[in-house]
Amino acid sequence: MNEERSGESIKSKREVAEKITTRIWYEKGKKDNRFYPEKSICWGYDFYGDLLGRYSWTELLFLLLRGELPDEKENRILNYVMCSVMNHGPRDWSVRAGMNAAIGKTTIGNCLIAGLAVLQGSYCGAMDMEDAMRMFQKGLSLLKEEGVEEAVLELLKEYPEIPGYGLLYSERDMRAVRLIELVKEEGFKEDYLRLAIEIEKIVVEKEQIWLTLGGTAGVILLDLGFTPEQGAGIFLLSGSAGILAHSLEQLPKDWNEYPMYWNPEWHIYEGTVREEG
Amino acid sequence: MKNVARDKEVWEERRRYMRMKTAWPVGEEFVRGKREDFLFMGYKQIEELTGKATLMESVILAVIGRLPTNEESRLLNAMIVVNDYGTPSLWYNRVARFAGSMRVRIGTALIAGLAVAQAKVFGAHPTFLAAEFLQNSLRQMKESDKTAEEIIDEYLRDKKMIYGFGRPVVNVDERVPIILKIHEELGFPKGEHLELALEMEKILNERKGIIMNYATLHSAILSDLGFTPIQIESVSTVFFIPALLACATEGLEREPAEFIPMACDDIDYQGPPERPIPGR
Repeated sequence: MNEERSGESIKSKREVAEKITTRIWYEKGKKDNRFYPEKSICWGYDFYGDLLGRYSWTELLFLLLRGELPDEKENRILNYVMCSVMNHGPRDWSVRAGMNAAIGKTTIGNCLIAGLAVLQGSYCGAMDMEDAMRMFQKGLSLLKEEGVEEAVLELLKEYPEIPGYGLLYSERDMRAVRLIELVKEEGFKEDYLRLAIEIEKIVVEKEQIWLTLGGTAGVILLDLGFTPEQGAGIFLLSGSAGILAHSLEQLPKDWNEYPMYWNPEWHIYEGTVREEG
Repeated sequence: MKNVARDKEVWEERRRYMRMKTAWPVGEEFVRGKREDFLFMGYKQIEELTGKATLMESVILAVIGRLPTNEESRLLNAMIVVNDYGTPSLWYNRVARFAGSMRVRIGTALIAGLAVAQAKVFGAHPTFLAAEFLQNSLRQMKESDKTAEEIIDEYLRDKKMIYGFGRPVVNVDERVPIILKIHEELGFPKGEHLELALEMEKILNERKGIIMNYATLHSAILSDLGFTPIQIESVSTVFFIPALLACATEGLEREPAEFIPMACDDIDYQGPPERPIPGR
């Protein structure tokens, strides 16, 4: 090993930092302090001067993601979707992840990280929704060339796991039905929703599965113009509310007020058993 | 996600037990509340592993359920150390440094960095994709007499991504020769996955000037040792930990928010010009 030389710095001659490009946000620096933001511009609008106080959280979320403010109907529908997946309840694995973190007395940020990590899974989570949204996008492009049944069958060949469809504890997820009802009452465009319902007719017959809540939320977000990645993000952002609430509730409790599953009577060992000696 | 258990009795049964392969209480004393010893992956944690198994052996035991041989352990050690890139130019390290700089706890900084390292274009996940590609290709070749060349041709024709070949920024991978050398020195023969990887590299290099990157070498060696793609990705995740800990610790030890602060004009805004809000 070479002799250790500590504390020396090797500087390059570069004087200007690399730039980040963005279309979303710009901060106008002060003349005598280029680090201090005098004005914050969001997609062309003065954020603190004009937007704050006039628009709701979901409207500004829409603007951040899309570059334009939503109309009233779009905002209502985005709210329906975000509210429908805001709390998966204390039995859900992602919410329980947050609660587990909280009972162990970590930071509330770590509770959210724990919950969101679990909520992004491809089983009923954000990745399932993202896949479903991609499947619907492909489906709509197939429909331009083929009849409904042919298009759906071709789609199912490419997506044999049928993301966005399934059961809620062995039964049809009626929360999804309620969300569809609400959106239909608004009379919004239903290009993707109609396709999803066509697919549902076929998969109900073949597999006895229906649109899940996440799948339905994804379809509606597509009709609102969101991409699959934006959809998955909105799903996680919405679900963070439930994770936060349930984690906060556990945070002040004693550690033994939450299941430990410590008693061996709870356990079934399915691992290696080695012979002694 | 269609494979959902339909039987309510299954849910009832599952809610009563925690099934696990990873651990088991050992000895009668445990039931009476005295912790005598535990099984970890089939071994007594205190009696058989503590002071005897190295960290690397413990990691491999956790991932594949058996202790590695001495040679396997040394090889895997080298495969992890060769990946200790400490520079915060790499996205995952930079994020750990950000987290440290913003005074996040070290474990959270590590998690942030590890999450970043689960990417498609770099990090641990490409080893899973490369392993899947190699293992599937070998299966196809055995089942249908296809050649490696035909498989590559198919991928190129269908414009499908071949994971584990090529590298961003530079077309050389300094990790490959040293690990191949250590692999040979430790007495490992070139298994069928490694042979296939080298053959594919030759074909891709001739056709497109593309080299095999470390993900493929790593996946090929571990596939030959019997690792599944998930197990291969698990081992790869450990690569990042030393450098992430170094970057996060440095961030925490320096003054807060000192790490590449940006001036307002360091942002190149390409959005719409300033405009009035719409009336409503």
